[in-house]
Amino acid sequence: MNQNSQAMIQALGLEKLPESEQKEILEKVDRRLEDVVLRVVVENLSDEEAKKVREILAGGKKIEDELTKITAGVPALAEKIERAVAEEIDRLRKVLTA
Amino acid sequence: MREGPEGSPQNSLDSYWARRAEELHQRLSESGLDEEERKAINNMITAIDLARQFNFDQTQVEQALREAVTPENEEDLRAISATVRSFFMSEEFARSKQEAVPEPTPPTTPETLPAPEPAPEEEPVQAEAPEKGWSPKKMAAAVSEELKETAKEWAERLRSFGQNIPDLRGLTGKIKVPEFLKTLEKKKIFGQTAKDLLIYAGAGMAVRGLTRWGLGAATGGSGYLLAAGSGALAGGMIEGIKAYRQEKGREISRDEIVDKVIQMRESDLKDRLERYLDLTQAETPPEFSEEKNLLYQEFKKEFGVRRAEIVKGALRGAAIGAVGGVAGAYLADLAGEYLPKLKDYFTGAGGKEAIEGARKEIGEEALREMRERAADAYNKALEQAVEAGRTGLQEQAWTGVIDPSEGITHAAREAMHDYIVEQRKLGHMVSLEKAQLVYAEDALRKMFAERIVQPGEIFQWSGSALNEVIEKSRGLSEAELENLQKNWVGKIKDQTWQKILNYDSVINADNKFSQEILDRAAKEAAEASQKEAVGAGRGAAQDALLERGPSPAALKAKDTWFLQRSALLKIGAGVIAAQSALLLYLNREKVKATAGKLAAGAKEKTKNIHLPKVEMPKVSLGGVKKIPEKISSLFQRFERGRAGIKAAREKRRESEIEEEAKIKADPVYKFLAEEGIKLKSKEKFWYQGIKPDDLDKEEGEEVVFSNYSDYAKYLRGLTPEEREKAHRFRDEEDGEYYKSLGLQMSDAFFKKIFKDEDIYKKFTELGRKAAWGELPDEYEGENIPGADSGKFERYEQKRSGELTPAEKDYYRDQVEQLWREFHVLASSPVFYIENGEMTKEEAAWAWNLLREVLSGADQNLRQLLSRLTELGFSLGFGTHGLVRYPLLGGRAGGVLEIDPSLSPSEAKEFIRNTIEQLRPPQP
Repeated sequence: MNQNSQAMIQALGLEKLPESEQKEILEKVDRRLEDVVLRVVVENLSDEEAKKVREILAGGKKIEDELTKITAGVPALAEKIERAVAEEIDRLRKVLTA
Repeated sequence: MREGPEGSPQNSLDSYWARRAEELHQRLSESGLDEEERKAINNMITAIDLARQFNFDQTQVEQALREAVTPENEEDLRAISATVRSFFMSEEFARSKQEAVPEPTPPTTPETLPAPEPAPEEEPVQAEAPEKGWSPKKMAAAVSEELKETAKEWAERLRSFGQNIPDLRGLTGKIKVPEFLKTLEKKKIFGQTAKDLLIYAGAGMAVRGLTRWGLGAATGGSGYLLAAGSGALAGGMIEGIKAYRQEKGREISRDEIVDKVIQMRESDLKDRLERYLDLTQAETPPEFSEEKNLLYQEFKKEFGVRRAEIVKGALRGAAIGAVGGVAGAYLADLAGEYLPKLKDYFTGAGGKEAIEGARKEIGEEALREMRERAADAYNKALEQAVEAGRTGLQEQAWTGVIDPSEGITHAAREAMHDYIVEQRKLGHMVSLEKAQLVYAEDALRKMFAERIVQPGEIFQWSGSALNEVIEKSRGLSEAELENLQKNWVGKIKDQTWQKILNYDSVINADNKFSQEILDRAAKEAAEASQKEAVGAGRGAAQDALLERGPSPAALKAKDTWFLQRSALLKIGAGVIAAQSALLLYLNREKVKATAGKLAAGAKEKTKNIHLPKVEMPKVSLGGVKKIPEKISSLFQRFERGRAGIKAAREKRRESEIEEEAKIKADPVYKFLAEEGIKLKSKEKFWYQGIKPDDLDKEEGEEVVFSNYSDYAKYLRGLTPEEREKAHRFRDEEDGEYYKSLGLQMSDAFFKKIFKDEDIYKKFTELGRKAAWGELPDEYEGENIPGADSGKFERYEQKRSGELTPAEKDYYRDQVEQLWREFHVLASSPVFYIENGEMTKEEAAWAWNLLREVLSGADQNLRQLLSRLTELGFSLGFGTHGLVRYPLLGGRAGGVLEIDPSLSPSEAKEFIRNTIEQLRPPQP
């Protein structure tokens, strides 16, 4: 397990689990944290921007660059995402260590 | 761990990679591997190649591999990630990497970043792009240069607004690289400092982008920025503390899910996690509007590559915005520090008491964050609103009034002047030369019919019409401008010119649109700033009053989680990809040599390979930016290359017609037609010979022919002795392997023929006769001459002379065109032709095939090719023996050789199938 994953394992209290189980859980945690990122992004878009993104998604266009342009203009988005991700890690720890 | 020749860490790491690659190539050469295993090994080789070329870590390789393929389903993605992950998770890899890299080099974590060079006391900002690619100091210098330019613009704009604000020109000299570096180091974004993010995340785009997002004040100017912002700050802090209960309620509702899961007392951790994830999946944040909720649900549904793109795009944008905020804050602070009269704007004179109160209660750090967020929101909202307003200027009607003894031209001049003034007030510094202005007003005049006009009569033009005329005036040739200057500019009085060129204010009050736009923008910006400050205040209040906030462990894990996604944060992935492609292109010879060594290494088991260090091209900030300029200049020569295009097309047509006729006359094709056998794309055959000059050597290069007539011609060029030697040629390199002459076939073709015993017998006999040239060459109408004829011509490569300048231009244009259209970097055939590796005809044929394959490619294939290029593959040409193949040069799994006998659609299918090989085995 690499150093970066170790930090997450410690934060989630998974140290005593076998490596295979750690990996399995970390993959799910990754997915959940990505959901959190997306939730914060949506939360901070205006309705017009949300509509525009949906249209891009529906049109099957390459979404990455368009979303970059839009989110670059959202104030303090990075800070908000970071905060939400950190809070979610704490929440996950509660679930996993209760 | 074996050390490299110089014992350097890099060589040591290379040595490790080389050994791993060697082992894998060795395994590939072993018999008994099934298709699944072979694919898995190829994936590993791909991963190693990426790691070697770009010093990638695991996450980056995983990400790169995700981009290398475009699986529509999740299965592919999972499998490829699993394959690569298992490799990077191996103890051997971790140990070797640690041993190999005692000094930090990989660009992924703060701990492993190179230490910044000691900052000199006074670092002059460099006017030119840094010579070396990515050193922190050079990068900061370039960023500072951008800031300097922006500060100059800012000064111009503020001056033009006529506000009572001192000249900001002096500000530009205050921007210092070391100071700016320190500012960038203080700000952490997604686990990295803003400085690291800039350095390793494709500064090209960031440098240009950050100034745009960070400096709303530069657009709107006129002191609105923090006069309103300060109020928002103070109000936000007060409101934030008040609003903490509301925030607390929201948190509790979310924590209910946690409590619910805990109460279930699931004994299995994974079950508990699943339960939690199920509940959160169903959760809809109650504050979402319908539109946002729809988007959120769609986001959650996405999986695979598209989801990765969404997350990547979102994080990248957030990072760009954050870096922009840092630069904006730096410039604003600088202005506040050096220009005391501005200080009140930035500290908020009206909110001083509130700020002081909040400082005591909340703390300096939280206050700083609040201020930054409020200012960031103000800047961005202001810029967006001003931009929208500026666009709206084109929809306005612009008025000009006829003065006594003046005509329509005068009205046009007035409207044009005011349009420029208003554009400049909104941050678009339009400026035209006198000759261009003369053209513009005349063009506007011509929009109305000639007639006698009355003083006071009003004429109006749309903003879009004015804009169009401005654009046209910019496209005038030197000669046209000279003519206008010579014959018309002087006819306008100096006094009039002074008036025309004075952009302080509008001439006609009806054209004063900018003030309203700025007022509205400032209001929207103030609201955004207030909202942001309230949000920040809530967070601060939670932390301060509820003694909560993320735990240190969660904060650390959060940072590492983002660092693992550092590849996602590559700002301007296209820029990075272009640089990678450029790097490979510039180092193609070394890469080629490396590939050769690698292949040799697979055969010589004990030999350790040390790769030559691939040099970074001297691109950096300006380098990539210059590519489009280069493209433009090359494009200008396109016209001159048309003759080359025509000639190449003609030659290709002739060559195709000739080949079709030869195939029609081919005895094997005839046989297949008689037997009613139709060939599919993988069922193919060809003829093979040995290069005549190699017949007395230990190793012989094959020559391949698509039809019997060409093969017969080859045989006719051999003496009977040479023909005998060719039939018995044994390649020492391949041991017992005889390079058989004559008819060769693909496995699929062999299977097809082998199915029917009768056909197989007939075909075998036909093949034997063909190999010895016993069949007539119906195309040429000749038989292979007997051994005693003595009239053999040696087979020699055709030489068709040197390329003309027009032909060279044509290929250069084509290379650029491929870059523009498909974002793939192709090696120019010019190199191969000039080195005698290809004839002009062969190059024309191969290039056209390549173009045809690309132009006929559907979106999916285009994306695949583009991704491969981003990973450093380059489309190009190569030679194989005397027969030339267009190659898709691959660094990882060899090259893709496209059989020249394939039609474009077959070639396309072949490329697609081969690329599929990069995919992992299905689980």
